Amino acid sequence: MKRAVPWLLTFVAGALMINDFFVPHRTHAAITQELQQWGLIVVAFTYVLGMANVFDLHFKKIRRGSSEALYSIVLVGSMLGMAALGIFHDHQGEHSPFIWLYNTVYDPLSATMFALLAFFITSAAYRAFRARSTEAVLLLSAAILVMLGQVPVGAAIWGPDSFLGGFPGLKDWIMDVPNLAGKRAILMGAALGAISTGIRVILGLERAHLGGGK
Amino acid sequence: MIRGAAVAAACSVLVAAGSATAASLSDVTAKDTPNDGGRSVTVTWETSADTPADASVRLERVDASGVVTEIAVVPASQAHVVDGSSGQEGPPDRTPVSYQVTLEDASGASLAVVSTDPIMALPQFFHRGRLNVLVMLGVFTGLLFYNIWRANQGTSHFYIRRLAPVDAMDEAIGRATEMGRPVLYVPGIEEVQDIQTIAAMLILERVAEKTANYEVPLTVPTRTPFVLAVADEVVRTGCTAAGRPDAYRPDGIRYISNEQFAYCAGVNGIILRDRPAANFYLGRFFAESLIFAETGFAAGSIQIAGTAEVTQLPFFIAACDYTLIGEEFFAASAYLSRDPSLLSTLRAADWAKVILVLALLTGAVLESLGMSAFRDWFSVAG
Repeated sequence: MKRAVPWLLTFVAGALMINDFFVPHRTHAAITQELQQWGLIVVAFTYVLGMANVFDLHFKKIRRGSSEALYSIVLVGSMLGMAALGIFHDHQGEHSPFIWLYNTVYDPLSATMFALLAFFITSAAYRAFRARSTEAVLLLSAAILVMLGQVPVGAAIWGPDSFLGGFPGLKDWIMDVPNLAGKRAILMGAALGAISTGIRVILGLERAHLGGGK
Repeated sequence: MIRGAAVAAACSVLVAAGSATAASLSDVTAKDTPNDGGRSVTVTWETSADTPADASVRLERVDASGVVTEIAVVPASQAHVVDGSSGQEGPPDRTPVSYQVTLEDASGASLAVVSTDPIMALPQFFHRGRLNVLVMLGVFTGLLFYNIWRANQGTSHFYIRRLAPVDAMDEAIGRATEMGRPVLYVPGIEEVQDIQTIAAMLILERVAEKTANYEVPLTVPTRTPFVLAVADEVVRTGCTAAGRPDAYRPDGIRYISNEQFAYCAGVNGIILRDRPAANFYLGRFFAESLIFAETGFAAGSIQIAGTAEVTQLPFFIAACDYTLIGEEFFAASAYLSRDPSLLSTLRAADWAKVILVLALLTGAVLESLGMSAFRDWFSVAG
């Protein structure tokens, strides 16, 4: 019973969502929309869980006085501070403290994290392009051709009016033929895998989320 | 009484007296909008060649009691209006209504008026434009059931190709045991209803089982609190399945932040402070994939990734030790479980791939011969 009821709920909800793609009837759509609304409400409640988890974890660290306690103090302080500003002050206007802090503290920090990508791409590309095997040589050759096709200097060396369309033409062929074929093959396999996983969950063959077991 | 989905014809044409042009409307039809939930009628028309370019059409609905409701005023060249589209209240279902279509010039003067026969809006129970999807889903589900049935009979032996990244999971957890360092499991950044997050949760159970067996701490940082709740349950299940419920550490399952890069910074902090011996990145990732993988590389962790996100796969392949690509990622939980009924679903997916390849080859040949009906059958109505 403890597992049968959650499985039945999974099955009914899953079947309704699949049907939604095939059944345009207003009543059916209303049922699935209602279910999705319930989902949103449950998601809203889980944020309380999330906050409880953050407080629990970081208060423990602060109490223990561990080396990471300072980070925890900053995190909990920032969280409470932003929450207080959002609740007790106007948080709509451009000059409200809440928006000001978001724009001047969170946004630049977020952009900094994103900007790290440029450096990480360089270091990852360096490792990936080391010609240690036949596959790596192929990867390196394709990458060099695509890069030359992408930048003006490539077209200056071997222009689009030349044989095979020069570097830009070669780049287009690599991107549109072998690369696209590979991408589509991965997508088709992934789609079948996703359907297979979905059916396994709906049928209750996979039941880790229900407490496992047969 | 008029029944059915399509009844319409122009029943009267009036050309406005004194009009300077002879512009007219023809082929005015009102049909129940196909494949919809009801309360919608599509009205179409054609205009004569001498219709002014700036002419417009005023569409009015006339109900059985003669009440006229204006529906829209659109350029005459639009040639159709859907009454009941984009949130607009359409006609009630199963109630006859007719439409008055008025062609007007730029000054609003009427050039022609046409009324349609009564028509009823009806809801449909099946979207006919998606029949092909239903057929393909039915075939695939049939293959799945057949293979599960054969597995349950115990008469079939399943050969499953070796998945090096999945085999390496044991090695990675073993390494963590020897080094006395934790294992980090990142289940992507999507919500729990995403199929990749679901697949990540299924693999998490097997990983939690193994880490519980080896008494290795497991850290699962999550981006959404819903995933936190599910991951918590899944890890507890894994520990119980290993016969080590005491190995479950609630502190290991953490909610970091809903913001993408705040989450990214949080996970990076865990990698750099805790120096996990093994990092698993399994789920749906976006820009943060390479940031995680490179930070993990710098921390000296063995890294196993898996995703069906085509744009992130190159980053994982370049920066991680092993990568589960697309379908391998979805197959991993079945592969780890060694349960015949789960493995049988992988065989069904392989059979479906054979059918797809045959369909692709057939389509390529027919298309080369100028026959497009086969290709058209695969197009899905929106």
